[in-house]
Amino acid sequence: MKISKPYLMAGAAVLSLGIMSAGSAQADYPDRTISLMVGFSAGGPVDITARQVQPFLEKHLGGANIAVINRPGASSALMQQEVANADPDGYTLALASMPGMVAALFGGDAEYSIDDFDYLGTFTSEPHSLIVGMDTPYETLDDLVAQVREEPGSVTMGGAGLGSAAHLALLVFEREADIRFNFIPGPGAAEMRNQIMGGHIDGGLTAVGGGAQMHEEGQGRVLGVMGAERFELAPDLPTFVEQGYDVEWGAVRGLAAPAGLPDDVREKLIDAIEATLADPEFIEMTERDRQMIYYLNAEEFAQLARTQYDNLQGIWDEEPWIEE
Amino acid sequence: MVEIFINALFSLLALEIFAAMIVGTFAGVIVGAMPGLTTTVGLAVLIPFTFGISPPVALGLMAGIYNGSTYGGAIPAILLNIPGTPAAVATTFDGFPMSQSGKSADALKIACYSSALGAMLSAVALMVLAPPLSLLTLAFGPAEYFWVAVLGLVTISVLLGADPLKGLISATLGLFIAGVGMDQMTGRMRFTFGQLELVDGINIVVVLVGLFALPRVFRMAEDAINVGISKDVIRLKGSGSALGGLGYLIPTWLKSGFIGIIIGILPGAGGNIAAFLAYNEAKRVGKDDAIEFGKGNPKGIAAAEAGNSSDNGASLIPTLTLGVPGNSIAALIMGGLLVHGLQPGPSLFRDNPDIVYGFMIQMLLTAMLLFVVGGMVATRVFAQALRIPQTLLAPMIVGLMVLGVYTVNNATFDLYLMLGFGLLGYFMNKRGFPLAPLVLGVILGGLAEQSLRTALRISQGNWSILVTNTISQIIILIIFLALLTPAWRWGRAKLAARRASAAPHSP
Repeated sequence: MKISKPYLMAGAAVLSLGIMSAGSAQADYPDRTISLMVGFSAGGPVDITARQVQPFLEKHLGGANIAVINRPGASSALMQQEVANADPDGYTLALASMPGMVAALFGGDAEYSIDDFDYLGTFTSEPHSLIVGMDTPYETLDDLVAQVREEPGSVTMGGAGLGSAAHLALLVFEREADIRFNFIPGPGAAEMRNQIMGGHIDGGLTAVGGGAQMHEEGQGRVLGVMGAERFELAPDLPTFVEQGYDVEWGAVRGLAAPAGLPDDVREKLIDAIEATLADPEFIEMTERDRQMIYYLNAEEFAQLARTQYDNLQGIWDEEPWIEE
Repeated sequence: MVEIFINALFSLLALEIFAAMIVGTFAGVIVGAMPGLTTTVGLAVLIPFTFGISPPVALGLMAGIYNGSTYGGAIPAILLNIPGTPAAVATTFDGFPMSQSGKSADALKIACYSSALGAMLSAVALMVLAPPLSLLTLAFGPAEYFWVAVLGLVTISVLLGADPLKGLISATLGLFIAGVGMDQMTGRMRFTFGQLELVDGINIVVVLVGLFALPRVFRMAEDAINVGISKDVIRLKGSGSALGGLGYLIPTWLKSGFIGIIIGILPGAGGNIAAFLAYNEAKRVGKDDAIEFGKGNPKGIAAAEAGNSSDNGASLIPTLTLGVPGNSIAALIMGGLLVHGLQPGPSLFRDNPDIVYGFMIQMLLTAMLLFVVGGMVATRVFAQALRIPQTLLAPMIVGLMVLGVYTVNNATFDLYLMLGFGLLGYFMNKRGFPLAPLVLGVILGGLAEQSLRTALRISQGNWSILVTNTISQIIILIIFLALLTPAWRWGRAKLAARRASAAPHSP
């Protein structure tokens, strides 16, 4: 596990906050430590992406100093609220994870909107996958759908908590196939895995990296991956689309800043993202860590946030997944 | 199995990991030796701090502190008649008299070897029992976990505290704290007052640090005003004979070790109870010894120290396999695992074998390290720890705590929470409310609620899911037995009282 010197970072963060109000001339950006905020604990998938891109962004911003700061809480809403309220000077950035960043706006107390951010570009994408226990009779999505149609609510599906990317993935599938699972929210992917292996629940939804690993180790069967095409790092797993279900769902991770960045700062950050994605060392690292590089430019990223927000709003209006 | 342990052993072969174990053990002995500091305080201050270092190093430190402090508590118990930790109370019974009769060095040596052997036996029990149990726990679904949590809650209320009512109030407070945050099943906010900081509930590490470490610091500040700085010079006397002369203690060690291991596995009880039971057993067997118990019998020290130390590894068995800590020290170790994203349960053994098996080996190695500490020079140095002025110690500890807790979530909010829990703990201490039930209430309350509601969601509201399978039924049976224990004890005491009052009348 690579967790580097949080004390130094905390110290650096305090320092950078202290100087934050100084001057607006940005020609020499960056001339002090940039905070890259992560809405989840260290060691989680989003945190790993942040720590993977950090050294490359530093390099391509001309030797800048970037501190990854974890602000876990409220499904990342806490971090997003903090970033939305920060000065748009380029020294506070967010590792933005879709759809989590958008989903956190529904049903909670978050006080920010998707327009509070400047979306700069994305790095990676990881589709979700649906997995069932080895002792269940289901071999394909059609088997599963047939059973749920026959006895609605008879199939239990686990996934991280309400409104998590996994839960929303299930909601999207339910709407596409017009079926209803019995969703079992759990504390995390590890517990869900135990419950599937122990036969306590029928299956669950998880990012394809973890799903493919369970599949390979014989702890479960992946029935479908929610990507447009087969996941190149696990090519024998079928997609939802090829089985006739138009479901594409996954986590897209990129860089965002508080809205209103000065143009030259914005330019520098976008250039750094593009240089990072073209960096052979970065490409090699993502392949080793089973990450899929996926680039949306600033406009496309902003469009994704908007589209996902509208989609979720549509689902929320019909069946809110959180009681208020 | 053996292969996994060998792999884990190789993964430990790094300078910083061994340094961590040595530093942890020595620091543990000092923490235990200082009457203001206990194992829980030492771990509470350390755990948030380990956040930035790699898990094997952090766990090595924790294992060292756990084992070291359990022995360290014996040093002031023997030299000054002040137990350094709650677990060392029974050590004072024979330790201090032996020391008064001019054999303090012998007494310390016996305490050290007994602690080391007890902790080693316990670590072996952990290594043998935890891996197979972790496989068994895959069969534990939400219903079974619910009953495990209830069992933990029942036993803490029954076993802890002189005043059961205060224990229950403390546990209930813990359950309430566990309820803060987003309702995992419906998404409703509970007692968050619109604070995003509270949506995920209250971090257990913040509770632990505030509750255990801050009240101690407050107490130190008070004592510093009242008592001032101790100027006593501590002298060690006695021959300091080698282990060869201690062979007659082997039966006491084995029996006390066995008692400590059983107590360790059971939730609710801790090292102090293990030490008392082991001491009583040694006293029962050794009625006719040349030196009476309580007057400096070496067997008394051996039983108490082997008893409290053999609680250590065993108390981690339910912690590592089920995520159910048996006492507040185990709760802290679990907090330390969680800080590193290591969730106890079968996945810990499957996904991080090097770390969890390595940790068990570290428990064994740090126990062995105590033999080194038992040397005269080391003991002489540690005895000097008793003289560090509390006026210096208290602010240092607060500084460490603030820095450590802030690092966990980078949240200033957590610091206020920690202060709040510190004040709560301080007043609970003053009023005689035990703190451990509160901590276990927080951990087990969350587990119980989540498991119960998950089970009912799986069964679509059918309550029979809770009682239909064998594991649940066995746990329910144990819960009944645990509930009946006080009634049985009360009945027996009553019977004995009647017999006693009847006795004068009989011829």
